[in-house]
Amino acid sequence: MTASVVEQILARVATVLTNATDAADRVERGRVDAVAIDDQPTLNIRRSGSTEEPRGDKGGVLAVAWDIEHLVAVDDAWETAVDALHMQVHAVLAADTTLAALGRGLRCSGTDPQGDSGERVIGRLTARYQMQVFIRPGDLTRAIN
Amino acid sequence: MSFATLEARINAVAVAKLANATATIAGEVVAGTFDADYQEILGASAVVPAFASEAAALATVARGAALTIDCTSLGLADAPYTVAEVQAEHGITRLLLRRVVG
Repeated sequence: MTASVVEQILARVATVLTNATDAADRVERGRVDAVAIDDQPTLNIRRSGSTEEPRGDKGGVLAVAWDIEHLVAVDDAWETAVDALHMQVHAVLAADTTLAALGRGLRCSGTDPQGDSGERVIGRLTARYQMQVFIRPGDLTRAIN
Repeated sequence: MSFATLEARINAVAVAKLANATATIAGEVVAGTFDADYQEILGASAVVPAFASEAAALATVARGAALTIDCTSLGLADAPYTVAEVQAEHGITRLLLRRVVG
């Protein structure tokens, strides 16, 4: 069965980010298990809630949202480290024409930074992303662009 | 016997009996207990290493100090750490440690 436009977008995000940033191939989709401290930095792409706004009776705008968790383990300056990784991620996403063709208006709508201490300083920045996709109500697998 | 004296004696006995490691700090070797329990921290699986000993033996240790740990039972020999936090209470000082990565 054809994947939804949401899944198509998230799959593309994972594909384009793999080996494109300092996280290398440590790009996860919806990972719920902890990541080993030595396997950093890591990206974890998590699907968020999506909403549809009707446009007449034959179409609608689906707001596709997802989070990207940027996880780093460093000696001290975790905020700088996660910010650098996020800027790499954002540049890759913004430049990808395949992703752009799956919807419109890619944007990072906000970030949430968190830091904590263990055997190393661990920092996590969750960036919220969003795209809009025009769809027909009867077909969630195809964008009308 | 004062409470402080009694506390110091008990702490000395406890450290002597329970020590599983030594910390070398500024050339001084201090016996104490080392543990490194696993925890999930912000989605990362990490240990939280800590070394504890009598307060008098660690009185001059401050955040950022460098030390090495020898702990045979955990397979550590001259393992380098820095002090992330100093917790002192009841005559025992506990150092929360950060692993030094080459």
